[in-house]
Amino acid sequence: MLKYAMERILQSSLVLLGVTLITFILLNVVPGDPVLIMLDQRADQLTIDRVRHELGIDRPLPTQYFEFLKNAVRGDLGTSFFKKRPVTELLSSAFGATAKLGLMTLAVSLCMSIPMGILAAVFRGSIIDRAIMFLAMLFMSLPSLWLAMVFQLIFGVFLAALPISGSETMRHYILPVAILAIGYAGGASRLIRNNVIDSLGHDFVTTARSKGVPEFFVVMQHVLKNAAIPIVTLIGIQLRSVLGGAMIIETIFSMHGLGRLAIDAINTRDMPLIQGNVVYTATVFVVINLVVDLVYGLLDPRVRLAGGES
Amino acid sequence: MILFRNRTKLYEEVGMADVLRDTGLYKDAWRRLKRSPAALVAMGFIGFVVFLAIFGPYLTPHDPNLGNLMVRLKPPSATHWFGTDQLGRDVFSRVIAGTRISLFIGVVAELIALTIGVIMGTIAGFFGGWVDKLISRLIEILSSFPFLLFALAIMMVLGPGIINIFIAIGLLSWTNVARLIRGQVMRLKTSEYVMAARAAGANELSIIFKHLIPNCMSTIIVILTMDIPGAIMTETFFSYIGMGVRPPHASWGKMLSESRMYMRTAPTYSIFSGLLLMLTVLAFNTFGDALRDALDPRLKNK
Repeated sequence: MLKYAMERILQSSLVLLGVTLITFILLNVVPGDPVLIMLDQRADQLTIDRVRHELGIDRPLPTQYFEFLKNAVRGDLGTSFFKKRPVTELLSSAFGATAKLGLMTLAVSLCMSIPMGILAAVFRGSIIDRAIMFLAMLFMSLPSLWLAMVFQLIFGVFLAALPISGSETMRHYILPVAILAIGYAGGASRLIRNNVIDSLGHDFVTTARSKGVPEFFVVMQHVLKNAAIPIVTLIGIQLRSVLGGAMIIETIFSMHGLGRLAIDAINTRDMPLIQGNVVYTATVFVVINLVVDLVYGLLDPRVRLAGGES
Repeated sequence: MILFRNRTKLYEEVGMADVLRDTGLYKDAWRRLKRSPAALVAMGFIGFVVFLAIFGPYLTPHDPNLGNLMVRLKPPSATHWFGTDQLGRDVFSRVIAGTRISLFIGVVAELIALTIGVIMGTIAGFFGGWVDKLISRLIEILSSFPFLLFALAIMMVLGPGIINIFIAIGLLSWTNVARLIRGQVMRLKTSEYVMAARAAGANELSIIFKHLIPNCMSTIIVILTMDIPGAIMTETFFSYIGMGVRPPHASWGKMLSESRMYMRTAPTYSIFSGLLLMLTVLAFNTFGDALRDALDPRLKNK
């Protein structure tokens, strides 16, 4: 187990190294000099050179990259070119809104998709199943940009019931959470349905039924417990994606989360901030993957004996 | 000699013509697909959208790029079925004209991703060893990037425009295809008919092209159908950020993001410009789902 864990940790570090290297290369071939965007067009060469030196982007690229890596390991992702504040500070202040939005989305989408999936599976083939699966497919197909606009129109403009921009109070979160949760619930309920159907076919279900256990308890006690493992995996996947920030929804609803921070950073060519954002998101991704793999390795000896072949 | 006779005739001779039928993978799949009314409706709608994409520019009642400032942001009327936009252009005509660009982006970007993915997946699955390790690591790195952020960064390097959207989506979305194809090739590599081909002296290239890739074809078709809506939605995102197709051309994403500024004054503009986008994505998802069940039941639950 220890060997397997070490191997996976080493692999994850390599992946993170690759992510930083590719981002660094990409950001350095982006046209549009950040210094020229920061300063007025009329700035003279001397000022430009001075600012470049202050930002540390006049040094050779390999030096810059190793400097970045050295600081990143110590938890320092540099200073934003424009906001003049440490990138880690900006990221952690944006993290609040994104985490709140993400966790609520996750909770609401599970509250929608678990009943939908179970109902569809129990009544599979019937009209209930078809209606739920059509709804799930519709949820998956709604473009979030369009849904956000329609919801803003209905609830914000016509009914004037909910705020459509900002992230100050809980009421501001209702529309964004609803839109994101609808998107996640579509795919999730289909997955849950398939897993419940699979576990309904097991022998222990027949045994429980033949003992005279009411169908409701058969599903609630036996089937759900067995369908739980894939659902946990699903939560892992969704957690990974909600914690990265929702660029479109955060921008439309003017929320100060990570997604909006990323778009601002890209629009102003704020290299350290973009770099920090990518590194943060990739780290969340890799760490959650690592944890999921290690937990599987603990639960299932076949995984760790296969030597991490995925 | 009975082995070499026409099979259909053979079935008739043994009196089992109505039980045994000469059939193939695609014939079978079509038979299964026909049973699902939802799949047929979805297929019909996709056909309609493709028709619009090809002949749309000849069917628009008004010039999609020509505005009349006297009729800005009007609600739907007899002359302008979906109303007009901020420059007085006919929204109905622009939705039709935008079909070509949006669908084109979806299909071409996915074809690029598919080509890269199939090549990489086959190489990794077939040759194994260090090549496989290298490609698998690359897939892992690329898929740990936040997709939209990375796509945006590529678009910044390349600049806005339709060709660059192809490249950005294509370069990033091949990993999923490669992973699926790699698994399938690894499994097929050890099957009897590949061994037979090898024993008969076939070289590796001909095994790949004659046996492995044709056997992955149903997976490839399913992935293509299922991933096109994703690419169309990504175009919407690029347009929203201002990295989409250049004006005055219309695409669904561009119209949607432009209409946002006039949400209060012309609500129908926002609603209509997203409607065809939503229906198309729904049709592709429904059809892809049915196609997967029909072509490759093993892929279910993935």
